[in-house]
Amino acid sequence: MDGQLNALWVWTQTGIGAHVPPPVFSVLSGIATLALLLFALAATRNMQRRPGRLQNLAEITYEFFDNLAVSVVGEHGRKYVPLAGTVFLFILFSNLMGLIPPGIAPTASLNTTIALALIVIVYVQYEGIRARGLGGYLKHFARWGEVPVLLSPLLFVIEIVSELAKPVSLSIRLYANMFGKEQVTMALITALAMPIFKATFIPLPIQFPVMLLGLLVAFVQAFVFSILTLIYLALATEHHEEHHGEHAHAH
Amino acid sequence: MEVGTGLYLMGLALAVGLGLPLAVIGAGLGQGRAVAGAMEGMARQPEMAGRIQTGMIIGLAFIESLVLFSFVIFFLLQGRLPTVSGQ
Repeated sequence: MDGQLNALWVWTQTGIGAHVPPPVFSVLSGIATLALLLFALAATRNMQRRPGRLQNLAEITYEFFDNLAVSVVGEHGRKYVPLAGTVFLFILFSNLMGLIPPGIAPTASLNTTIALALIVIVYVQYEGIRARGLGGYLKHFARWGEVPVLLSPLLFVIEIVSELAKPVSLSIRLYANMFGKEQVTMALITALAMPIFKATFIPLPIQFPVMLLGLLVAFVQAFVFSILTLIYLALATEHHEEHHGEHAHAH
Repeated sequence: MEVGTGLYLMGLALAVGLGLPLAVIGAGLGQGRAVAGAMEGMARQPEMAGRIQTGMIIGLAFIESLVLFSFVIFFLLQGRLPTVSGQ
């Protein structure tokens, strides 16, 4: 009885970070996707010239990412707004799901974050090949023409390794932030809040400051993930942009 | 208990206890420097505050991710510590 009570208490307060089977995270990601889909449908159905509340929220979000993409990637960055914005909204919504007591953040599982990072990185490679062509894409890795010829093979290897490190650092950064928040919350509850509750029957919310910090982290990490998406896209397609600039100059 | 096992457990316990704080000290110093530089830049050129802030947040996230790597390793090592039944 005591053990069950403990487990129930921890569950209702944190949604337990540690021993959740992976399918739960998949279902939660599905719920987040569905909620975002409903939001998008509700915001764009029956659009008005003078926007209502939902449409206004959607427009503000889109304009924010439009400005961000243009300032980071340049004028051709407009077409990356849907990807960066969707990634931001999905991660933000997932992170916030972890703050409502019986919920778990889907992003507190490495499976979810690796999936997100792979989507982003594969798209970045695709855009890089499309902007430069396959030859230019490989030359960019070797910094061909920018460094002495003998250094190029070495740089090629280094660039490949750093390209492979991108999805790893993207996914682990998000996962460790969310997982860490849930672990600290749970540690505070089991080590402090629970003994106090059992001794005095006063449910003190000792984990509250950590959850406030979690609210901040939820926004910052979602923003960081999407802006890094834009930066990687900018790095992969920058040559293309340069060319464009020269072209415009010539006219 | 053998001496080897004891040494192994001692090393493990030290790594679990000290690894994360060391990473936090380094990252704290680094983030302090980064924020100090950004604040100075913002004070000198308030009109660039927005772009400096974006850059600062990205830099802080990069520094912080190093701590989070060691946090993940902390969890991997913590799982290998034996539980001691009390008293």
